[in-house]
Amino acid sequence: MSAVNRDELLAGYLGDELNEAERVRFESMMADDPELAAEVQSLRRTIESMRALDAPGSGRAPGSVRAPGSVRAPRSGQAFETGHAPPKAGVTPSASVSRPLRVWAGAVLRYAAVIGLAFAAGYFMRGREAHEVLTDVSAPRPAGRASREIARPVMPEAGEWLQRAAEVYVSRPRGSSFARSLVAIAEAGEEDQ
Amino acid sequence: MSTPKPADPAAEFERYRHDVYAWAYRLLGRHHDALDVAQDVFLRWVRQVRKAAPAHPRSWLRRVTINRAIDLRRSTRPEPATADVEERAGAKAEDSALERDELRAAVAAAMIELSEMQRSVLTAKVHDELTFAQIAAEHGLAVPTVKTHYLRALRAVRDRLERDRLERDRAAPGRS
Repeated sequence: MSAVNRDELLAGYLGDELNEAERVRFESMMADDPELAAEVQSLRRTIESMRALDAPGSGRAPGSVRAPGSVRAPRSGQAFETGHAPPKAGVTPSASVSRPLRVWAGAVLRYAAVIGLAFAAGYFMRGREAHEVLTDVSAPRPAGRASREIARPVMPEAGEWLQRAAEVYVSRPRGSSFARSLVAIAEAGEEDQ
Repeated sequence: MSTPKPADPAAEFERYRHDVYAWAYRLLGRHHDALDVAQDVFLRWVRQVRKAAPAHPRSWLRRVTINRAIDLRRSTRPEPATADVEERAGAKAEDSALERDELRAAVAAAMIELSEMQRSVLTAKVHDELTFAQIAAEHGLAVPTVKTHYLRALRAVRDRLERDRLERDRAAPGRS
């Protein structure tokens, strides 16, 4: 058997994509070739190691790897909205308890910054349709309609985006690219015009 | 290759944002960094879609996210992710977190050495659990080519992990 064919079977075996006849054939090859068996073992360990890095809440036990012939486990949602998994009981960080004033001050400042940036974004976008910032700026405007009438149905789209960006911004205790995001989108709109 | 522009790029992105976060988190190991990358990828996505929507959004997002995460990893001084709240509980947990940091660093270092296509194929197979046929369709490749990329990438990561383990053993005998 050529190395190419062997590698194709090896990839299929590791990915659990061989049919029954191919799997039996490959396993008999492994039985006859300890080097091949050792390679399979080392590659499976590598897959396990990589899966041990899965994001919190990914719905898979860290490092789990399906054995050939097993049923594929369904994937569940991953933690994005809530961030990392909630702290385990009994391991509340002492740092956050001892610095309540700093935490509150930080939150207030962040809210103030978000409001200020939202006003700045409004200033940037003045005189332009809200949807131009997020969608196709080259689309022709309907003729003969007042700009307010045109803008009304698309405003929720921009509003939702701003709200999402603000939520991401506020949820973080340090540093943000929120301002950079707004400026980058506004600049991209200018370039396209 | 591109497809017609989706009506709402933000809504289209919404479908993949969990994946984007997860791809970034695996390489960075810090929630805030992963969020930063996700936000940056979102902006790039909006700009890209306004020019021409990628034919395979998930594949495009995976490649861009991995590249951005690797860029961020290269540009920042590595901090131990043990600052994460749940990983501060006791010395045992710290050891475990440290091992995971080292593993993450080794995997990221191995990923840097791979081609963009190999990174994407490896992530699609190992983490997203797509079939070779699905990966081939996403990337516009033949199935045997995908298998070749997968095995090369996997062997490269294995060799890197093995090298790092040997170096750790030399530095601190008996630790692993």
